[in-house]
Amino acid sequence: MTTFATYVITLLCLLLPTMGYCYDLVSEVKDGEGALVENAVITATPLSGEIKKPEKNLTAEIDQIDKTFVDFVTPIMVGTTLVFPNSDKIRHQVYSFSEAKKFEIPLYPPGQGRATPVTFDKPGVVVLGCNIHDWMKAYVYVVETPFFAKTGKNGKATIKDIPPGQYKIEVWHPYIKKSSATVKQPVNIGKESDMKVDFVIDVKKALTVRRAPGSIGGGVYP
Amino acid sequence: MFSLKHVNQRVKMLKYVHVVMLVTVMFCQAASAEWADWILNASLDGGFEDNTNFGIEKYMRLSDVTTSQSVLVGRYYQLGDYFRLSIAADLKAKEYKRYDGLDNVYSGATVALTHKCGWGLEAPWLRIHSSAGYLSFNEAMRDSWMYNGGLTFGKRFSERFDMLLSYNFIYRNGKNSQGVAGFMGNPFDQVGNKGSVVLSYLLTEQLLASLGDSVYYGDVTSTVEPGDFNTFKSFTKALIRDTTFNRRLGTYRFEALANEFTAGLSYALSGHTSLNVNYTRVDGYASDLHYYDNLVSTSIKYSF
Repeated sequence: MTTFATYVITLLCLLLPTMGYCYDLVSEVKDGEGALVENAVITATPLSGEIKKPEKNLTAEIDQIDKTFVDFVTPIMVGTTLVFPNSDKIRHQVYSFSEAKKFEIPLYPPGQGRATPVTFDKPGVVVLGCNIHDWMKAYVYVVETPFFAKTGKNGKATIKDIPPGQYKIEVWHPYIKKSSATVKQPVNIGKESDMKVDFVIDVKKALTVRRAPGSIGGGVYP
Repeated sequence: MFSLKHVNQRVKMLKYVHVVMLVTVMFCQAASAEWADWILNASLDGGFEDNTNFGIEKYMRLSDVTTSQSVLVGRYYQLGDYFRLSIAADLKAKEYKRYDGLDNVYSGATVALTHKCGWGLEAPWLRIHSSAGYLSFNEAMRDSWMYNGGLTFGKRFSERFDMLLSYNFIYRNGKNSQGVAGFMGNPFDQVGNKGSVVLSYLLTEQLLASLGDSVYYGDVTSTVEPGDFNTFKSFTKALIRDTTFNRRLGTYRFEALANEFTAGLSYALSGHTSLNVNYTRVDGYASDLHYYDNLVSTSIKYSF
């Protein structure tokens, strides 16, 4: 009986990976001073190079609320279609000049579905702006892997449902300095000790254009 | 520099600018130009001025505490990718604690056409603007129609640093004053040209420092004791008796070259509101005369 039980358990252990059992990878990102970093994107790319194409069309959205893009950072997989609802009572004109995706959505009114959706077909960083409101800025990070997540205010991100195997884990942030170590590999997903991958990165102290009125003019584009 | 012919040409030009702007507005309405955003700017100010009357001698400099409120309401229209038209109504009120004859209300309209030379926040832009309005004082002799036209060039060099260069032609048409015997003309009929530069630098995410300097050449008014009226005949043709300053004075007009330097700090309370502190120093020169004025003010500004 004992021999039989051992045999069954061993068999289950061997079969589990191929039965589609998946794991969650948790990451925490801090800067050099130990502060938690929000809006960092963690990606897990299988070292085998085998990336399963999504079964359905991927969509995501970036809203505009109080003349601000929401969210500031949006990670998406290549092939994702982004929609740009306008929750303001005024109009916006969204554009990007980035190599990964150049586009312009003509001035469009408030509401859902008033702007033509945009499909992002190349990996890379896409910086968004609004031709009406110069301070509006957002980043779309287009990745080739379906396994990614963005850190919240607590500096933590969880990539869910990663099949076991060897992966390259990377971190990206819009203000990351080149000196930062951004890659950890190989990471064995499925191996207990590798299920938490943390990063310490150097982040530039970047400023955005100030929107509030200045004391004697200047400030934002009129 | 300000011969009658010259002034008439400028005023004529200002009228043309107004007509062009109005035609553009009508064209935009007819062509269904798309409105893009609302304009709603408001400000509450409090300040101290140490020479409200631009007195030259020390004993003639009259200081006062002032409060003012202003609101600008209008709309931006987008004319294609690179042009923007703004039309706004402008209302300002200013009160003086001691010299309430200077209390005034301005109501007017502003039209501006801006061309942005490209996309993105660092693209330079050029704006032609014109405004007209009526300035009404407690002391009615100062009531005037105000006209202003000019050009502004703006360039942002980075998220931190931006610059504005502007030229303004200013024309004020006084309404009610009666000249003192021997003088003709209204001291509140004034023309002037002003060139300005404003540099703004973002120190932190909230704190914006600005420096501005402008050079004005044109008419200004100052006050003089009645006993000195005759000595001013060679200096000015426009002088009136003025009781605004709670004593018998004359207000006269003269041409001056004035430099106005402003330093300001602005703290953003939110994306829409800022708390501001400004210091302004005006130095005016005419013949061998020198007048100066120091202004300190704080304000809360709101922009939609």
